[in-house]
Amino acid sequence: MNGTMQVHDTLPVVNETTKSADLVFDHGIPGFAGARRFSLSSWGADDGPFSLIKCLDDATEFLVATPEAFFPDYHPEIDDEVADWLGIATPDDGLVLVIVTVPEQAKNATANLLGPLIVNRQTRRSIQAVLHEDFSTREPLFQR
Amino acid sequence: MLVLTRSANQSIMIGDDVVITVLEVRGDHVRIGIQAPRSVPVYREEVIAQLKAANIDASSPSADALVQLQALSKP
Repeated sequence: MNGTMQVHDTLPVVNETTKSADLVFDHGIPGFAGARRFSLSSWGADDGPFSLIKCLDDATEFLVATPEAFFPDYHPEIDDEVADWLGIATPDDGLVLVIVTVPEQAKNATANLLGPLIVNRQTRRSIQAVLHEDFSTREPLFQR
Repeated sequence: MLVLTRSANQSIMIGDDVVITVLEVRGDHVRIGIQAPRSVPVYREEVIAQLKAANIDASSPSADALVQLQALSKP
């Protein structure tokens, strides 16, 4: 699938009761090869763009965001092989999240647009994709 | 590390289905062609290094920074 991936809702809430979902990164995440399973839970405002993913294998956690709240023109294209591996047939099957870096001065927060997390909404199989386009790993979240 | 000397238009095979060809050598730059099955991801090493560094920086943000961020993202 070389189509444009778009996100149409805010959170892949798989379990309506706990408002959390487990994401499985069978390939790990670069820099955290052993981190495979993460719980995903809402963070901040209920309908806000942020979620927290917490590794179930170690103590690592990441703040992630649905990109369209900050980068409306961001439409990552993922390789066919990655889409196949994830079991994603149409863009609606996938959820795109970007990892947010929050430095001590939170107003300088950045998002990694080069390596978005792509999640199969149904199976929750996930990967950190590496885009071939020229995106930054540290795109400012807020206008300065 | 295995070190081989190749000239332009000469190739190296890795396994049965990965072929790396030196296309052109010009000054400090070498143009390389890579033929690999679609299932073999090919990335520039520095891209993966960049991703690793960004992930490490992003991991486990401080509680204080998150509190600040929450205040910033309030409408």
